[in-house]
Amino acid sequence: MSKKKIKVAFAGNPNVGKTTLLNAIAGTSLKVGNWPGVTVEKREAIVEVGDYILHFVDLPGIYTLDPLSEDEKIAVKFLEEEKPDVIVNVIETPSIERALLLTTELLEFRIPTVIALNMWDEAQKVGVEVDIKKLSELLGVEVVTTVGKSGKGVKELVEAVIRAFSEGKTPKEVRYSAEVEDLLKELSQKNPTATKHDLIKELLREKPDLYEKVRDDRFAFAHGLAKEVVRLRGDQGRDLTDALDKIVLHPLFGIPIFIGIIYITFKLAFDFSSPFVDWLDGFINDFLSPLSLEVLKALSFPEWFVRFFSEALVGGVGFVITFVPLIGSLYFLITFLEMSGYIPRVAFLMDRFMHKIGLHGKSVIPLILGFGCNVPAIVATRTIENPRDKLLVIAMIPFMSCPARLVVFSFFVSIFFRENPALVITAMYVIGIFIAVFTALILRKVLVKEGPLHFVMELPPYRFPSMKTVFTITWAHVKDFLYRAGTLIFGASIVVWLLLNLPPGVKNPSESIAGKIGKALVHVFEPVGIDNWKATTSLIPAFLAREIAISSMGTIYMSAEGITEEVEEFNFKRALFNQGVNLLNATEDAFSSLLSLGIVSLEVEEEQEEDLKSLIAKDFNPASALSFMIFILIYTSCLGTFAVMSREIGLKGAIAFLGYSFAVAWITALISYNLLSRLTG
Amino acid sequence: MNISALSPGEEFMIKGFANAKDGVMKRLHAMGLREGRRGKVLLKNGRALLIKLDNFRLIIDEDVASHIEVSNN
Ligand SMILES: Nc1nc2c(ncn2[C@@H]2O[C@H](COP(=O)(O)OP(=O)(O)OP(=O)(O)O)[C@@H](O)[C@H]2O)c(=O)[nH]1
Ligand SMILES: [Mg+2]
Repeated sequence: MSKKKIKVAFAGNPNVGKTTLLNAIAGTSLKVGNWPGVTVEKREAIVEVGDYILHFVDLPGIYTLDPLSEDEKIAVKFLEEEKPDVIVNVIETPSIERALLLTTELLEFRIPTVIALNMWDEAQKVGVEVDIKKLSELLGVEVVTTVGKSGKGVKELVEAVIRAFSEGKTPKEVRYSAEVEDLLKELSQKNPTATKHDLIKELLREKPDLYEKVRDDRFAFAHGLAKEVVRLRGDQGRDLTDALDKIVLHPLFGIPIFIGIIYITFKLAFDFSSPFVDWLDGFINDFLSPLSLEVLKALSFPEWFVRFFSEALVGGVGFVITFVPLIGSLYFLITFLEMSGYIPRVAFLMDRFMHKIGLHGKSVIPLILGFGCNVPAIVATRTIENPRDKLLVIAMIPFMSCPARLVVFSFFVSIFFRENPALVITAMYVIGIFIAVFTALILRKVLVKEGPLHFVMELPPYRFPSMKTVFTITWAHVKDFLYRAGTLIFGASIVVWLLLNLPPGVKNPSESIAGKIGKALVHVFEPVGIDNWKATTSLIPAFLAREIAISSMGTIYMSAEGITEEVEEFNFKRALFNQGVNLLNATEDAFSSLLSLGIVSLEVEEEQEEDLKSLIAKDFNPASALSFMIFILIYTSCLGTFAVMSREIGLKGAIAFLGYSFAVAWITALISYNLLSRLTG
Repeated sequence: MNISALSPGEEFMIKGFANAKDGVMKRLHAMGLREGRRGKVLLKNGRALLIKLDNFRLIIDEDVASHIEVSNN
């Protein structure tokens, strides 16, 4: 007997825990966060239970079936057109009365429905009690209580879905006032198979002035229902969220606190990760690499392969992998902030500023997400109702500096700006923001303003993140970074390496194909101080992903300068022991750095002889290094961003933007190069 | 009186919606703002207002606020 397929849609208001519940059911790690509008695309997860295959579809949150923004349209379209077998209506129990407004609309699809009273834990804290049995009887639906964060009630939810499906019970519907019901009856005679949802839609198309009547009837129904099933247990004392908001959203202190939070985030990420970055660097270069070279030689691999190994793999991929601790720590902290409820508060704080550039506070959310990764940030603009605003924000996001850029920056500052690394990195972020604002101001002049700007957004309470979720999401990001290192970055390293060694028999890498391309490009980059073919060549493959700028630099310098690390007799046991000791020290450093206020890892920079770094140091000076960093910052050199941009604004727009970002990068670099050259004499 | 005339800490009851555009109206209603609802202004920051109704909080800006007619308590 073949298994039965059940298509289950998750619908509900924004930020009620739909995705959290689905993750708990299916073990997926779909994006969750504590603000409305996290999910902006429909996502599927498949689970087999007994004789059934459940296809769960997670939808963006909606307030009504009357969508305004793109993400809402996706949800409503799915419900109207794809006819799920079961609807799971997820409700934030503390504000159940409002949630029932959407419920009344969902019931009219005549699809078996399960109500998940989520955030049951919070309902108990604020003293909201619900008579589950009565709710179930009055609506003819299954009702379960859940706590998405801990997975409580999830098993019962799945059982209820299967029960609803196999019993095929259609829910009871709202009864409208006699006038409306009579008209609906007439309509249904013409079209007997139509659901009440369809009939009402048709009725309102014919008689739009009935809209208010229908709405009021629905409201009365939801209100009456809430009165029957909800009981409020007196006041539960002071609300922690309100108390915190008085400080965090304070008209004067709000912005300094925001800046402080950003500072602490970067401080923690840097200081905690840097001992591990150093350790990994040593582990790869002093242990893994000599060990594998020994093995390769012992197995008498050809000389070219040994070179390929140390130049493309160790020099290229290995170089980037050392930054995994930085990426991991940063994503851990960003995820923590996303889960806490602070992100939407920035919308409130920044509204005044955003208004000056013709946007409102809500648009700041995708911009902030851009600091984590530009790609999902661009997708997140779907929550913006106004197409003009959406375009403006999309054009700003690529200038928000992401962790991949930080990897390049921290590499460069460790060579060229040892005295004030924090200042230089901060300057990079600030330049990015500045250019984003500049871009918005220009675009605002060009684009026609359409429709009213209105800013209404729900502000969730603060929620302490579940550590398990934070770790799961962080791990997903790290995995993604490693995956890219193993595929895109490795591939780019191979290509760069090949081009460095072609045409066959080329002796001097500067005569190779890569060398020739690089030299041709020198003409473009010479005015901004990048006058070396090795540097220009490493910029080309960096278009795929920014980290490739340094991985290909590693490969190029390794092979062009022919570093042959003569490791005097490699003792496996002693080397392994050393690595163990180093790791312990690194761990100790990482934790002790958390106790200081300044950024420790950037302050102390011991002079060390590092082969690759000192080679790169020869070809740059601080001014040209800054130009290189500015290119990495401003030029949209990221395949993922380009792809998602062309999906959201079209290929032409994406290409035009690429050209724009190149021009801005070049001009900015020119200015900074001349300024800095003059300053440093 | 519209809601932006209130200061933080003041409570209100919604009396109606003055010449609001269709989209805004629908959104406000769906978010649980209606005639007769009681609430409280929590904070103000430039153009933005933070209000609380029952167990949820909304941020609205001046443009939206100007459409919401309220009375003190
Ligand atoms: N206290 C508590 N928090 C929860 C519960 N379920 C989810 N959360 C938190 O609520 C927030 C929102 O969860 P999501 O799963 O992203 O909500 P969503 O409904 O998918 O939101 P959108 O995609 O924006 O519509 C997250 O911070 C969750 O950790 C719960 O049962 N109790
Ligand atoms: Mg979601």
